[in-house]
Amino acid sequence: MTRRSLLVAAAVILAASTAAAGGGRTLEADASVAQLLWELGEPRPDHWIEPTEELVRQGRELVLEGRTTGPDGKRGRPISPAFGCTDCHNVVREDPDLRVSDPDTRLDYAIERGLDLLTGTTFWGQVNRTSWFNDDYVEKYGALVEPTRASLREAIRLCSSECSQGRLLEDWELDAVQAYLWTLELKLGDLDLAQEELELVALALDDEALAEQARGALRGAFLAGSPAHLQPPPDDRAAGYGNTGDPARGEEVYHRACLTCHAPSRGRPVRGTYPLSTRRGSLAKLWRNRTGGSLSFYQVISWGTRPFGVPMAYMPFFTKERLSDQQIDDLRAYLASELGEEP
Amino acid sequence: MRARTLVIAAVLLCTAAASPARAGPPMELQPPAWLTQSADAGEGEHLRTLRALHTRRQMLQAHQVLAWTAAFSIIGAEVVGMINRTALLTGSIPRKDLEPSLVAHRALAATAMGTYWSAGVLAWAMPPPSGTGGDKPISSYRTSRDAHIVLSIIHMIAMGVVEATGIIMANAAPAADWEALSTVHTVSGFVTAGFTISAAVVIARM
Repeated sequence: MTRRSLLVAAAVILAASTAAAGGGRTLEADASVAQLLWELGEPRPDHWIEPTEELVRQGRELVLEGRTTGPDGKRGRPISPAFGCTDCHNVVREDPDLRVSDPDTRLDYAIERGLDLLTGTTFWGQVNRTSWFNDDYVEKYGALVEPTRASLREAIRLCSSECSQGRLLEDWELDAVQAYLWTLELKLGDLDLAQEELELVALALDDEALAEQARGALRGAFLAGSPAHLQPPPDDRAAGYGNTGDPARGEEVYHRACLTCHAPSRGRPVRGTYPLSTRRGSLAKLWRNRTGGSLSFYQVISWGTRPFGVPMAYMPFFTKERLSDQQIDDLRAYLASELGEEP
Repeated sequence: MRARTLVIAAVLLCTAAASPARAGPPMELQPPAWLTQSADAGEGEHLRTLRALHTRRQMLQAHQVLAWTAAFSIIGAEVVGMINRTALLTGSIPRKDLEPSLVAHRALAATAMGTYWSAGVLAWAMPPPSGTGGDKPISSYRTSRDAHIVLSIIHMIAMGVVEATGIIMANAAPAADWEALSTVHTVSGFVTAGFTISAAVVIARM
């Protein structure tokens, strides 16, 4: 358990003790945030499903392995020949502060914990959200995102079919994925609630008059949806975004965001049709293409690529909340530094 | 010579007339309605669209495989055909000795025709990418798709000429017209292969 977790747990127990002295209920650090919200009067979301052991197993296999054994005992078909869920989504916490989506603090957090920087938001805590495929995803998927904005089930359906270039999930598979996602829900100890907020929640569980305020405190402690805004390539790709790049951070970006999919040596199959490595030739190819068209890293990070070939794999784009312009210029600085070029 | 010109003109006109009529937005080839309708009329619009897009994706992959096979079969047929043509025109190889090579040319041509028109039917029949944001600033997809369709119409006309001239040469052409028909046949073949590959390159670009 990390020092941070210990502190949060201590705060929760302290709040619980204080509230108990004043008549409130005891709160545990591993209390379900969703359960607390329901107890405070929030309706259960449509995507609630009882996470039975069997459903969770199937859901975990679908998410982590791309296929599972169905109710008929037969091994199901892979969701996609091109991608697995975890090619684009982590299944663990990836932000230190759940109130904001900040790529720079996320990079630090990823370095500290050895995480990859992926294009999609983590599945961890997804069931606690109320909105998916937000903001500029409409630019890529058009009207297809409309039903997903308020439905996790429809979001999963769109993700499996279009984002992963796979197939439509059966109803039982959707149930299974949802059940697995419920095992990744937020716990009270995950939220950075102040002492008085914890006391408020504890008291509100027995005092309806405080319920709305307590729900607000809980809801305010994490994002209801991941912001997602397109970040166009710089007008002058030779000059970049104009930030002073940090080669050390750029190296981290290269390893955690690029090589995750484009290098064969990280335990996953190569997902990109553009193999990359830390060898000079590979870095030089990226550097040479930076001002070009479809192969420029500015282009593909910002817009992604279109599906082509068999299977129809493609590169998803990074929103500016997933990879900032500073981080892209850091990547540029790393390439320049490795190649002895002017950044 | 006038008869030959008339034959070629007729082939071109027939091929152009056979190209799918355009309706709706510019450059949209309309698939048959049965393909875009869901078997379950009660399912939601969103699910129907996703199902159609999934069907489109599967057809698109088959289209690509068939189109590449067609392009390379045409090139193969061209190479063998040019060897045959030279041999026949110069008389350097007796006709009976050339038979295996003629069979190879016909086999390649048959493969090219089968795969080419299968790819074409799939392209015509696949559901459109409706509902997606494909024409949004994510990429120049719209432009490349339009270019792909223009190039496809050109190579379809050229393919029609290749087939018509091939059939005429094999069955009905007077000896005097054979050389000229053969030239048109060869050039049309290269145009078909070239524009088929160009169409693939254009659509592969962002």
